[in-house]
Amino acid sequence: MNVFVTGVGVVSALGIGIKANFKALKCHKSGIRPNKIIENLLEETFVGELPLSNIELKNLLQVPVETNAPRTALLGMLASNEALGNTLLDNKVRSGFIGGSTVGGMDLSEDYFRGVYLEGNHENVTYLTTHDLGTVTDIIAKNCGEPGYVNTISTACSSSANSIMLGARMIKNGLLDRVLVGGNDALSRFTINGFRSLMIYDKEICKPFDKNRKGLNLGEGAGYLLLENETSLTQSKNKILASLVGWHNANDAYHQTGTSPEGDGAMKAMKGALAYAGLQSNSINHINAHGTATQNNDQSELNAINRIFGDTGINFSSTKGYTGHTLGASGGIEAVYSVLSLINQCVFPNINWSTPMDNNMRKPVLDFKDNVAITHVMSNSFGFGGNSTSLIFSKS
Amino acid sequence: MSTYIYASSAISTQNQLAGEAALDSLVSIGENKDLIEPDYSEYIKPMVIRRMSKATKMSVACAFRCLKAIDYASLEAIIVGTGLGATTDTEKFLKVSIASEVNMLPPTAFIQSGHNSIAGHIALLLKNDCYNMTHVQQGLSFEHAMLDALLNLSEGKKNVLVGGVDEKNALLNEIATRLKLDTKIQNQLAGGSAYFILGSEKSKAIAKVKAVTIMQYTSPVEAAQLFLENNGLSYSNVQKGFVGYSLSFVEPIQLPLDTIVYTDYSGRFFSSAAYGLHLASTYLQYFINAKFALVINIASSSKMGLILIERV
Amino acid sequence: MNLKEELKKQLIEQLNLVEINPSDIEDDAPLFGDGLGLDSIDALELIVLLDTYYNIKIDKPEQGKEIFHSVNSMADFIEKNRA
Repeated sequence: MNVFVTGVGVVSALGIGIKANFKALKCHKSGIRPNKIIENLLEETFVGELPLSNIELKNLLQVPVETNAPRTALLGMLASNEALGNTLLDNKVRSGFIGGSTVGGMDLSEDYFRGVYLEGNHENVTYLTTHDLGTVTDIIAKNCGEPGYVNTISTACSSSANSIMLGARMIKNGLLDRVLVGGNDALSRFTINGFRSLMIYDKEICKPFDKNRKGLNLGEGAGYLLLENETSLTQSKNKILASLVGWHNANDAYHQTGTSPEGDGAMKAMKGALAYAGLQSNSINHINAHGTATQNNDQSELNAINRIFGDTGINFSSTKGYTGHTLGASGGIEAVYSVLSLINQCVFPNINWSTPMDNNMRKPVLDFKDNVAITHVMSNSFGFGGNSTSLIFSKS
Repeated sequence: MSTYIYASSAISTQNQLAGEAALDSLVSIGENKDLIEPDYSEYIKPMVIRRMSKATKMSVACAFRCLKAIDYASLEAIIVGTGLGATTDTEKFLKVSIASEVNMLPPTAFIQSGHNSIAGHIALLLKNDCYNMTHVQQGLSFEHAMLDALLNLSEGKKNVLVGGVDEKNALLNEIATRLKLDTKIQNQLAGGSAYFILGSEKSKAIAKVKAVTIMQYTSPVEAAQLFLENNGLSYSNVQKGFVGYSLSFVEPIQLPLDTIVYTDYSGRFFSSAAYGLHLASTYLQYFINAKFALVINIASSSKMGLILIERV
Repeated sequence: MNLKEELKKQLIEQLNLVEINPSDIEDDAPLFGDGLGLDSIDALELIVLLDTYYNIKIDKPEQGKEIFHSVNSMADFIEKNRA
């Protein structure tokens, strides 16, 4: 059973939709700016924010303004709509929807708690009915149709990479024919404050893989892929955009939030994905790295890349200088970017980079390049709790 | 390829189940919904416990008890289902980040609030580098974890640790009141955890997992019947049904089956089906005339989770 | 109560050191690594402690290595920098 990618959809600080995101990626135009939509932060913060309010998003989606819909769900609906296109998620084939998230409905929940703690005001208690991740996924899935299987994976920053992997495994093992997979996370004060408390938040635009990187910027967005097997394709008659050929999840088991200096989890994830795909490391033409711009992640990840790729050059880049770290959405968004690389035969650069890390001569791709022969792209996502996932997409 | 339960362990409002007396010893949830918890320091060093959410502590204790059934180092996957994750730490971080006036925020509660910090911590303590996953899908979180566990075994893994956990705290009770949830649900809100080692070797088994599914239903009786028929069985083949209800209001169901409503004892929480399975597998171990037990989790007004287990 | 005794109590509370009493912590014993066994998350919590109780703000987590070496070094730093 092959796993074909037949639809992609994305929302990020670069805009709504593939076209807007591709244009910004090509033009080296970062979406990270001082916060505008999200309010009540302790100080002005660089974020990868989609500059539209929840009301504007609801209007775009033709969702009534008074509907209880967290921002994470709105972002997810936009991206999943694009990925699904005119295909139906119903019971004519065995269909599913798997979301990935860490934030869920927290943007509304924290508004409620703000009212409670600062004013003793409980009037927005109904905001809590959409707090949990499963409910947010339900909202998005119902908007897509009536998939028989609906689930949510939450593994921090690898959430939507793992949703994609689960969907692929279910197709491969004959449990589903068609599945919309990926994830979403909106910005929230909870997560911005959380990462500030870890002192890994850059006060300026982040610099992935740069020696002088000072931490991440958070971002928001959603990224979804439509995966189908041959049975589903016969019915949908969709065009194949790429194939998902390899995947692996491993655990770093080193620290609750930090990764091992040698990148054990990352190395195992990449090695496992290659083994599953039956590929040698020199078959990979490009890596969309996790590259959060924290001291820890980028060091570990680069060490892991060195362990897999040895002395050979390998094109790699992190797109988080464009979008910020979109947490649970990052695996999905970056999977979409990986597929765009394959469709357009291009590589997206790692912006904001100027100095190589100490003791490491690797430098990321610095300029957008097209007319490049890209056959296999690897996409990495590494989360707290040591969760490490690597996906491999191939040209169709 | 068959799937077996090698071991199970739970922390709940009930005492540890004692063999044949298991079902008779259950106490109706009633007034007292406190968990009966072990001394966690039996399983975890104090310097490590201090960093753990309640959900993580419960999960680690259950996991370590179950893991006696296998060589720890051979564990090939850790999968957790939780509906709400670590709510106590989520609330703690929310409060300090909204209400305190200090600029610097304490990170521990934020780290512990992550849904996958539970599975991540188990892996950390075991130094386990294998597949590690967390499913968060309301009242079906545990069933999704089970389905993933079965998928892992069919892909060739030899064994899997799988469980369900959810916390209860005063805030959830308060919210339930404010949201005007049905009083029956409010009175049964609880927390708990149950974990299992699943594997493919019959020699280690205490029960066999015949089938796990999630179904949409209009009639729960008919849906469960269809599930049984798909497994070559009917209600008359099943000696006991273990029925549970979740956090959305549903009229009690009547099945043509001798049933016990496990949530009347464990209380209601999103992943309570894990406790239902623990009860069911304990029942099958000790009631030698029983061949099949069925866990029926009425997760919402339209979806149910079903787990069918068989004596070995 | 003197600063060091106060500090030990605050340390125990901030870091949730449940089985430890102030008398268990020696003034000059290393807090990290082999000593009390604190780690990088504790270092961040200690930065919060300095802010909460002493109004001292630390910008860079790396500064923590020297400051938090022992109760003695923490007390010295607080004496020099408290607002």
